[in-house]
Amino acid sequence: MDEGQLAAYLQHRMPEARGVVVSKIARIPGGASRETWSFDARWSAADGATVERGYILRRDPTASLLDSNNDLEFELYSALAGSGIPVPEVHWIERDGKWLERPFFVMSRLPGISDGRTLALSPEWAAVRPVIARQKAEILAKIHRVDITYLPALDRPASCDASASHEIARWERTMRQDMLEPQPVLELAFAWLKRHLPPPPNRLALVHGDYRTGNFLYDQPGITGILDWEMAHAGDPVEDLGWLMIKSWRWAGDARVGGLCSREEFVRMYEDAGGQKVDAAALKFWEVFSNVKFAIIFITGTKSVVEGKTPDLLLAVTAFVNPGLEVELLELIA
Amino acid sequence: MRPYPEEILRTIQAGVMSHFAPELTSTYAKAQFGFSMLLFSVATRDYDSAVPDLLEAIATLRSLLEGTQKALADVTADGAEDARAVLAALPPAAGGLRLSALRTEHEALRAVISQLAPLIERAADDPELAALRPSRSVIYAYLSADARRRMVPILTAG
Repeated sequence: MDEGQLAAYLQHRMPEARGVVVSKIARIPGGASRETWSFDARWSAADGATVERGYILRRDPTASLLDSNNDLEFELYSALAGSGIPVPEVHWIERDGKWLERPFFVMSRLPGISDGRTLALSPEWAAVRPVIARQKAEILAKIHRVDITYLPALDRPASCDASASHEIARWERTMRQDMLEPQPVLELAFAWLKRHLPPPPNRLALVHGDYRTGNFLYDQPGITGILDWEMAHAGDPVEDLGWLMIKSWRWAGDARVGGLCSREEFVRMYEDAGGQKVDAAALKFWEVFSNVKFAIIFITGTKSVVEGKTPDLLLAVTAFVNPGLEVELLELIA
Repeated sequence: MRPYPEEILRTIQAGVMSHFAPELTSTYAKAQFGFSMLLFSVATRDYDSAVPDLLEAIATLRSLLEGTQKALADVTADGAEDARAVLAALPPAAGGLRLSALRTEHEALRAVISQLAPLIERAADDPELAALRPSRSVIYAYLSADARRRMVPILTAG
């Protein structure tokens, strides 16, 4: 991907713009399910004024940790604009490889950084941490109140009663399809999950699916954008709470969830913000489930690497996260 | 002869580090470089211990499965009969010390644990499977210790 290709694309999308110049193209590390690129663009508007914008481009990779689609993420960003949930403004989506070899979409670049470890550990962020913890809970409660009727691309279970079993089936299917070796710990965990199904939610909610410290942008005033919606689906809202509580996101190395606050505090702030009452057994179920899901994501990545489908070394490294997840799972289901 | 394969790996790692790293400019390339260094370290760490680790794991798994078979002898709960059939047909021992043969045997034994997982997990609180409870505990302890051995500290949270 180069400046010329991107400038030609922007020119195509904004025929009224004159002299489009693209600069500062940089690939952002991480983003193991989709390539993330940042770039700046400058052009002259019809009235002669110079316009400068920062963009983020999300492009399908050659292989990925997740089988996700651009349409869902694009649809969500579009639907959530103006909802009070901070998301980037999306501009264009391309479903074929005509412009940049693979499908992609373009959105505005928001201010802030996303690094979870910095937020949890750096003294510079100490004063903002409680603010971000509260915002994180409030925004999650807002996400769970979104009316999913108008989000047709969302995968959804047949009923509230089926929310947990639907997710179990989805991830068990992925594991069976992608595992290159037996997974006894995950088999034990699946057996546990099937015997400990949580009470169904009152209604199906929009579940972000990857809501954690590290997947939102923050700045000194607080959270500036919620990112990475590629695992969003309709389901039990407690699923998002289970995911954000797993040990992998406890960036401070202690019990604080997401490196921000205690789990009890987070649940209280979530409920106070209008989130549904969180059942302790359901929360444990979804925490076990989340560790399983995370491990299976890396099993998929390992398969891509071993089969030579990607040169992305991150997907090889993440295979070595799984032993820690196995230890955590065995402790949770012992 | 020297250098041994693990020394070659270490040499490549050091060479790449001193010759290529200074020329990397983008954050993305630096991140990929960091991942490659980590992978070199894992490969070097596991090279020398791969065979003894597999031999030990195979011996432990066979012993755990033997214990499970004995514990299941008089159990009449649902699934016990099928489990006994699985345990009566354990995979054969590897025909040598080649890594490929040992890995095949090891994976076949782990597949047996996988097949028994629903029964083993249920033993936690099913009175009909009480006899299986001690086996369940030692299997969980073994799997946890095995996972700890495979951990890469920098990738382990908490």
